[in-house]
Amino acid sequence: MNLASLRYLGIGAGTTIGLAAAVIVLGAVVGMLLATARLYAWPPIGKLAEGYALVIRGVPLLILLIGAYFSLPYLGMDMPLYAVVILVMGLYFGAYMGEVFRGAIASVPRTQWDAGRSVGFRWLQVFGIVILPQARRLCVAPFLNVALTVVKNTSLVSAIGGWELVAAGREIGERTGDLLAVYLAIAAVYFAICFPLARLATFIERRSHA
Amino acid sequence: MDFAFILRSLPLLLEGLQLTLALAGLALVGAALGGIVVALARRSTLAPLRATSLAFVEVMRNTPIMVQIFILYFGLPSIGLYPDAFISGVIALVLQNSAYVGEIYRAGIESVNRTQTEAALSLGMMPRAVLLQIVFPQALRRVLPMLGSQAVVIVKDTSIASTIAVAELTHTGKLLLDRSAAPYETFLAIALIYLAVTALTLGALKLVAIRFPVRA
Repeated sequence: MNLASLRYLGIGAGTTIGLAAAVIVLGAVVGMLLATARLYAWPPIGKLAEGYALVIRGVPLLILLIGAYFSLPYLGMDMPLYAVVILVMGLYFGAYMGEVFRGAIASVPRTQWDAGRSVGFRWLQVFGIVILPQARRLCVAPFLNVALTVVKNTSLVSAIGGWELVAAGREIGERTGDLLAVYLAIAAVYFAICFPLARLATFIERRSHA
Repeated sequence: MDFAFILRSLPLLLEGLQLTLALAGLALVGAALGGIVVALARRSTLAPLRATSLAFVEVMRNTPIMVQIFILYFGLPSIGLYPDAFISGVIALVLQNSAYVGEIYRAGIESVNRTQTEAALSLGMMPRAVLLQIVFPQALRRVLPMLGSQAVVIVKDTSIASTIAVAELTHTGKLLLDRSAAPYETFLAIALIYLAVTALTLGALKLVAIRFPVRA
């Protein structure tokens, strides 16, 4: 592989990272909504959020991506491919992040609520000032693990015709003819992105147990 | 909604489901066994074995399964090997999930209190018997929920074999899509079939967990 190919892979890696970042942000918002709905909302709404998470985690992401991308035009919504991808992946990984957030918030002791209320805080103040900061520390490591899964799963975008790292590699491979070298190079790029994330998650997890 | 279309395509979808189940079944068994090798190698007293297995686990966990499948199916022909698409899918699923399952086993083994091993050894049991009769049964019971989630991941990841034209459920769906103008009916039906398979997988593991409870 020559320098131009490496540069092209670099652009692909940039697209992958940008895509993953957008999905992680949307997923975090969806996850927070799901977590608060399950913990605090009117029970039927909470059950609905629980059912959503259960159903979405039982279906392959690839099915949702293909299904959404090819069905939306028939339903009169002609969205650009990247918008569909970010929306579908954000809703999909939101379900996983919801579990992470819910677990973290639920593991803050109840007495923290009572203490917050007893000094005269309103519900939202207790939640925002007392509960969330403690929950945040607990969920950093599992959150990073979901983020890592998001990065790896952006590779599926190339299966519905999107352009990112894998698609960039395929183009190079088709030109040079050496698919083995190019796919190994792609694997190496993913490793370079994901391994530091995984180490960071382990480091934070160890420190929080110490 | 054209439900008649789904009913008409059902035989085709069930054919796809057969291949999905074959992929998932082989991958589950392969990963359950491969995981034992990984876990034992990670806990080996030989440093090179420990290092190799750690490297294997890190590489498998930090690269996408789709790229691993592509390396096997599109990459190996560059060096004169031509693996079948189905075989490539099975090998990739087994390799990646052996790494995950191995780490789950290892976490289970390490969660069993050392005193259990020491007690068994002091009763005169051989180290191998201690591992098989004392440590493994306790470890496995504790990690059953994690093994269940990993089994669901395996079932879902078989869909990625559709990208190398293995005619499993997802691939069948794409074929139906090309022939018809009923994308959401098709994919709703397929999503429901996957949901049923993953729910049954989790249900089966729940039953196993009830039969083999964790004893405090």
